[in-house]
Amino acid sequence: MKPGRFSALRGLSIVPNALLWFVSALVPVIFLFAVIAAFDQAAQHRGLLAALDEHGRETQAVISTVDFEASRGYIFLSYPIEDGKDGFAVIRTLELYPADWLQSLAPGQAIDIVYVAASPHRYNNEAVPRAYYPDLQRNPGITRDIIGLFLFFLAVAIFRPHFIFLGVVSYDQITLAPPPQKPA
Amino acid sequence: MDLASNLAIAAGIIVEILLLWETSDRQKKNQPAPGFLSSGLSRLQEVIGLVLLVSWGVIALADYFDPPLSLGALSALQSYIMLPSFMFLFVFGMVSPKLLPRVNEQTIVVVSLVALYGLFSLTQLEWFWLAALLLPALGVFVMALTTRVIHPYLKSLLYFWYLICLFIMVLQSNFEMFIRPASELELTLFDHFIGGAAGIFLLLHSIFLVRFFLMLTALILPSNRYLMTLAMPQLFDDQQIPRLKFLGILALFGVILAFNHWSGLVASVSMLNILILLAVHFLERPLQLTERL
Repeated sequence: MKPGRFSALRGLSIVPNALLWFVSALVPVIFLFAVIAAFDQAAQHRGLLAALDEHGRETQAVISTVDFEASRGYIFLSYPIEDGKDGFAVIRTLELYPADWLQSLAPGQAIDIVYVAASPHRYNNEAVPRAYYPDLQRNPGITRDIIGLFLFFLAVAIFRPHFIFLGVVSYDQITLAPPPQKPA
Repeated sequence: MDLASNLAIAAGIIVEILLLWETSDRQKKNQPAPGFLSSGLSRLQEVIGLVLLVSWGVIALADYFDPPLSLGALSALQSYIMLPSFMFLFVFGMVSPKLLPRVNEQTIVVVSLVALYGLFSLTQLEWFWLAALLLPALGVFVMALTTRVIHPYLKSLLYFWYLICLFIMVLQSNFEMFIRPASELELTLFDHFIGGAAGIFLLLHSIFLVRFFLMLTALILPSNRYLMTLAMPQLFDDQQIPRLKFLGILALFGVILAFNHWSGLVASVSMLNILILLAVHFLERPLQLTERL
């Protein structure tokens, strides 16, 4: 192998390590945001379940729109109310439901839902499918992207914890290799 | 919330930040600047006293005159309080946790018991949750009564438990005043003041709990463990007050809680917050410290 090519390969080999160091500097901040986001999602989910428990009503609704992309996916539904008008409800965060059930949905299809009655309740017009309501009550309501972010940065923190300790431990004391053990 | 309540929360936050600063300086044995009025007080302690006097004067005036402010003006005022507070929490909780007071086993015992008292008075727990909460509290209590210097790894677990107890306090009570309408809570200005002080203290530790969880997780790799050995002396103090005095303080705290429960003098959550702040800032202060070993 030519010397020039060898040094270029060596240069390339430090890129992953440099990237890992760069990402590890972001760990404290992004991990905090991931935890806050997870708490927020869990709190919203518990809030919706509490609202369904207190003010929930069951009905059969017709699917108007299914969107898997926008706002973590949603299903827009309409259902008849007393005076001949239609009420509206929305099922959000579609990744909490089985993929095969989601694939089977189409506009015009009727499904049983439990929904929160209109204002003044919080989460009004939010709904969940009747069939998956018990499963949802056992679900923490945290989405996979947040769990992924949490686990990824946790792994980075294990392999490059130096930035997490910086501030508690002074810069001079942090070494890349552990200090040698004193002889007994 | 009216103007006086907002000012009381802001005053509580400012006083607590100054107290954290003062405690941090004292614990790091920094030579404090001498006070203007008395040589027995540091300049920072005099500033805290002055801030207390001035802020309560302003709060009393705002309460007496009760100026009719629009909702927009009150919301803007709350934003002016919250924005710098969150900046403070982020910088000193996540970036540079220099203001966290150092604690020992005895402080952790007091904080655990206060947090668990608050939790048990609010909710009924299953036996396994009871066991999960009481066993660590009992373990720390036993350690608080012994004079053995414990290993940094065990210290890190105790400190984690202390942060969890503070987080329990955050979860059970402290956001009520910001979320529920003031008319439902019937809180006094003093409750708002304590809520502001305890709120900033508890949130600071809750943010640090996230970071400390990462620090603990990093211990999985043996090559990282020396970092925790270096970190714990900054967070954990080996000095403890004598055993009898500690038990006396614990009994006093119990009597205060019982008296407050019986008389309803101060809102329960405010009393719990006061005891936690007292334990962290003042537990060792009026007593002669006993050096271990």
